[in-house]
Amino acid sequence: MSTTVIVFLVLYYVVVLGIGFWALRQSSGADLEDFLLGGRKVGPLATALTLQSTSMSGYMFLGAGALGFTQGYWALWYAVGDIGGGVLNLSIIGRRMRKLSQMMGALTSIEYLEKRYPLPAVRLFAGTLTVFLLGFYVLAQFIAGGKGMALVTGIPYPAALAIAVAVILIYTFMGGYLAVVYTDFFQSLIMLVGVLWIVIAALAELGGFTAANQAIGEIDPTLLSLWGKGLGFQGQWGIVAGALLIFSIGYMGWPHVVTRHMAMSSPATARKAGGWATLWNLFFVPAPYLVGILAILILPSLDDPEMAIFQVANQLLPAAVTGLVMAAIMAAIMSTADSLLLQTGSIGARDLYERFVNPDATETQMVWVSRGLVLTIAIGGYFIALVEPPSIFTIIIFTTSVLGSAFLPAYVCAVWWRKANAPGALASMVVGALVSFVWQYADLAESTAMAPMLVGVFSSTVTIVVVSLATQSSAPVPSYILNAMQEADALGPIPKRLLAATDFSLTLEAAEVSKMLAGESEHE
Amino acid sequence: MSKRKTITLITESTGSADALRIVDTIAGTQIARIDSKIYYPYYRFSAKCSARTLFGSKPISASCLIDGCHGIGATSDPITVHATSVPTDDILEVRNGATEARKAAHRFLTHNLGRRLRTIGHFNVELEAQGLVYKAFWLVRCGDTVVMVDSFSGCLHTLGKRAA
Repeated sequence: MSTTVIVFLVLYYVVVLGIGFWALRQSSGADLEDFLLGGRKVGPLATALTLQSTSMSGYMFLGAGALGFTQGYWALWYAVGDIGGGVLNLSIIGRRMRKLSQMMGALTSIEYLEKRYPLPAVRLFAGTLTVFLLGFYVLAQFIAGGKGMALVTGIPYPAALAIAVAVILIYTFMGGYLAVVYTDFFQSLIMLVGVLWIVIAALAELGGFTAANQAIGEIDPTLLSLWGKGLGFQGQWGIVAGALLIFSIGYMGWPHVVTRHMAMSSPATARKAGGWATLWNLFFVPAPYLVGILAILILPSLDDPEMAIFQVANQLLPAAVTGLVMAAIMAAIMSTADSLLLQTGSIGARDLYERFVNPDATETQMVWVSRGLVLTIAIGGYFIALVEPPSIFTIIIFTTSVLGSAFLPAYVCAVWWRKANAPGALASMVVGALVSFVWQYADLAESTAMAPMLVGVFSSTVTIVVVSLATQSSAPVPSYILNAMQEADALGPIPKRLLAATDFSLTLEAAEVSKMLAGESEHE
Repeated sequence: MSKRKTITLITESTGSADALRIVDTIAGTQIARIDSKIYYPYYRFSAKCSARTLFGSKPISASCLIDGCHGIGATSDPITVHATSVPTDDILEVRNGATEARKAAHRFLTHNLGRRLRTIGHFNVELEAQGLVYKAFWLVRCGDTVVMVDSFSGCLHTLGKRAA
């Protein structure tokens, strides 16, 4: 790596930290407090880009490129699903979940599950499974951070990995990412411009799309097909559906993603943010896959496919741009890891320790539990990433499949189906997680031509329906939940513009005033 | 004549004319009219917290309102209050106790600070109870739809179709 790259990389971090420091110094009064405590209304564009920059993890920069490099255009099935995933998620559960979680007073997505399905085992199982899987998901970010750091600095992978893990831990424990809160927007733009720049530079190097495709076809024509290298997935519609759905409907089963619905301010903001996010996805998401495909020609002797994007950037971009883009990518990876660790720590402390072990836990105890859990994940993750690192693609597909299979029907039915009850949800989560896990562990996808996610979601959906219906008389959905659901979907013939302007934070007050008005009407 | 009660009211920044204008602007009509005004109870707390960051410890003060009917927390912009007399029929009944409200305020603030600051840390939240306050909501009729407008923030929430 050239000195110029390292200089611009350092410069990027200095600027980012400088912005954070400046913002902190400037906002010594109510402004900062307002931001920290939720009073400030963030616009749809900033909301969308901030979310995108924190949710685009190491998978996009290492896993997606590797998939394109090894399987050719087959990789685009994943990209297509990912592009529409955010909007699908928002449309199906977004608004209703926001209202329902507010009415039930849930602060975390796991707490919301227990309030909607009032059975302690629901929270215990959901919390434990989430902690385990998010811990695994963080592992992918550690590996991505370590590999990126090794390439950028030239130091050996074990040391680079240790530095990446240490930096992520410092951010998590010390609140260092306060700086990045102010710069997420800037960072997401750099990522988008940088990745598109790599695509354009790669195409220019290869003489355009047609020439590139011809050259790939000469190496292996099956890489140009949508069926993978050697037409390995031809006619396997169960696998194709899995690739398409994993990042589209899969998002609905991620507790750390659905949490975002609980913070939406209004339907109008959510809709516009969804629009911006989709536009951003449209340009950004296919790019890493395409770079991976083009890397087949640019880096024919590449040893590690996961380094395709970094290496193409290093080879084709001006050194200064490479430094900036790599810094933005590294920052995005660390930002994602930091968010995941915080979620895991919070679920471990609030949803498991406080709820089941020590209901009278002090704040200090909760903080130590949270820190202990994060530290355990970091140390365990470091050694796994060092000794036998699985591929980032494998980790992300595994965690997304199990999370989606376990939680998707439970979250969707929570807002759409009044008969979904606690035994149904619990059984659905257990069956979904188990089926998806076994399907992957026993490698049944190859022999059955059915993706684990597809089989898992089908099993958990059937389970929630059958068990809920079978247990309606012994475990009916409590009336206060039915009332809350009725309020959450009570739209009536209200002018659309008024509905779009509705402030979700007033949901409880509105329900109470509605009750009061209904009482007055009866009295009259 | 209905009975009246003196309450501590959050000073309004959105009057009846503003409420009508907001609804008319959003609905694209000029038919909105004020139906009534109701008063919603909250427990008010002021909090002093500190957050440790890479740039040092940062003192933060916050205002927190806990819904008096449901016990759910929300942060608020700095507010001013004054005493006023209003019809008792227009006041919503308080259903949650002050002790629960204090717990909810503490939990809400620590959770929110951790989430916003993206850190695991002690925030040393010190709460000071400032009693029960009420916020007025304008009930604005727009055709056959009733909309509730927050007299402090100007935000609205539809209440659906209701007979006049």
